[in-house]
Amino acid sequence: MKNANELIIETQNLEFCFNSKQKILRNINLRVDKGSIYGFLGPNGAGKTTTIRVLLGLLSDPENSVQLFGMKLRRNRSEIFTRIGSLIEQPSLYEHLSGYDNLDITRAIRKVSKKRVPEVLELVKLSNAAKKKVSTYSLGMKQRLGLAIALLAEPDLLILDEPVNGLDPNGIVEIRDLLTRINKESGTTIFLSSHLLSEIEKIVTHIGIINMGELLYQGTISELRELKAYKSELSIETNDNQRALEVLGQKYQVSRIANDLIITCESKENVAQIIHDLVVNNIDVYKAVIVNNDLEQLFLGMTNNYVVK
Amino acid sequence: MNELIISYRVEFKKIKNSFAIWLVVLGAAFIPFFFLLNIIYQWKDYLPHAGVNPWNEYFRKGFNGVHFFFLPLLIVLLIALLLNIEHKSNTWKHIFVLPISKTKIFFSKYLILISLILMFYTLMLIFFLSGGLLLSLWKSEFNFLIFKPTYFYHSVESGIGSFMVKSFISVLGLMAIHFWLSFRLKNLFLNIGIGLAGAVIAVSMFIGHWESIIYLPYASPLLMCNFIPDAHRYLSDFLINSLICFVIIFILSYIDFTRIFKG
Repeated sequence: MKNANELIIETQNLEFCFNSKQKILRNINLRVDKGSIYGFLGPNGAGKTTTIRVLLGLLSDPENSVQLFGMKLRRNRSEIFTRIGSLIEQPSLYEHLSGYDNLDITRAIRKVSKKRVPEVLELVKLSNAAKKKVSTYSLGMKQRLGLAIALLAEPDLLILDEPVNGLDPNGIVEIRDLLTRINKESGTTIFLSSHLLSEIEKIVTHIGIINMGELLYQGTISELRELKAYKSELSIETNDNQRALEVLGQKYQVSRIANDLIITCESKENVAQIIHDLVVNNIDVYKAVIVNNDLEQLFLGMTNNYVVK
Repeated sequence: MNELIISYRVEFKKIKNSFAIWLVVLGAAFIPFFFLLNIIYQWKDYLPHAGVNPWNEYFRKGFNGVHFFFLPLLIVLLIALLLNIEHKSNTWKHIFVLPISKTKIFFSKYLILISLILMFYTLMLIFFLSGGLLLSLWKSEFNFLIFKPTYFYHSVESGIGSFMVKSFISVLGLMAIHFWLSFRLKNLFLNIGIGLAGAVIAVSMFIGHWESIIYLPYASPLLMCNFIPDAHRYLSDFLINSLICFVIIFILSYIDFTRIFKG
């Protein structure tokens, strides 16, 4: 029986440098659980694509620190790649050939049934354009064809580098739905990178945040949401803001903006304590709102050298 | 073996609609066609003496046109175009994450290249033969229909088949060099530029009667002009050198492709 918490991707202190002076990746310890949708987030140039390239053996890993499906990549290349579908940066497509031919090339090497080609074309809504040369495709169509190629062999692991790049809002929603469906129906583990949290926030179960070659955060999306509550600002309005400022100013960092007091909270318990302190001091609370704490803000905070322990 | 055959078929599919296939067909027709035009234009100069087999002289002059500058450049261009398909489409990274070994990818690419070169030779021979037959249909004095293309039927040493084999061996050295360069260099023009420079150096050495020309892989096809087979050995020195160059570069490029090259 397969272990539910089996790690599909695991790296141990993964490091990478193009030359000995500058490390591009430092101590990356990725843990991607089986069946998860892992969002790998980071601003442009953070090291996402480099990490993916190392994971897939497209960049060297002298320390042999990558394990996929519990196997070392170097010694089990063929076996591992049979189980992986990938889309790295812009799709790799032969533009002088049709969409169908592009799929058929990968199909032949992966020894997949010919019936699968129309199925994946339908899945990414490219059936009508299958016979057209890829050079006539729009960026979004190319992206979808790249995804179809990755899905062709019904892989156990999908590694997608910025899969919604170049797609219009409808296209983004469609791809999100498609990935969620594949994950739920086939149990496919999905590792996808993005530089925008909002693009993938709705579908991921786990998140890894990378910046300047270092993994700043790794955990489930719910853990990240909890973390967000610890680092938030509470906006309150009372019947006596001056007294409230005196009461709270001793314990918290408080600023006054118009009719509101803005208090920096370190934890969820802080919020309860603040309300409690005000009530005990007979101050009526008209409003208490958490502000500036969406995940995007947190992500931006982290990647602006806001290191979260 | 099965995977190698699949990979070879896939390589054929990749060149569909590409210029590489047209280059083989048009390249094979180029010299026979212009040679034919030249003969038609100056037909009196080309009429054979009575009783002389016209095929020998026809093939000698025709293949001189092929081997002088044209063949090395065509081979360089063909290899560059063939491997540029992967660079242009940004597909090395896709190929290298497919469940197929790099060894099989390397060999299937080499096999497709050799298939295209053999296709080029076959087509060129057909075009030359057709040209001779057309000339005799136009003017029977050319005697192409009376005599057989004796290069086919003489001894192994002078047979047209043997000549073609030697011509193929003469391009092996530069083929291996440019196969390596073509997967390493993304820039198509740099690749072709190196080939062009090699061919120019070869012609300069040829004109200057340099003895060391036999060591230059780019010059081997040139040395097939007015080729006289070695009386004692099947392969002349420059052909052996081309073969040695091929073997060494082939092994080095294989090691590079399978162990270092990441696409």
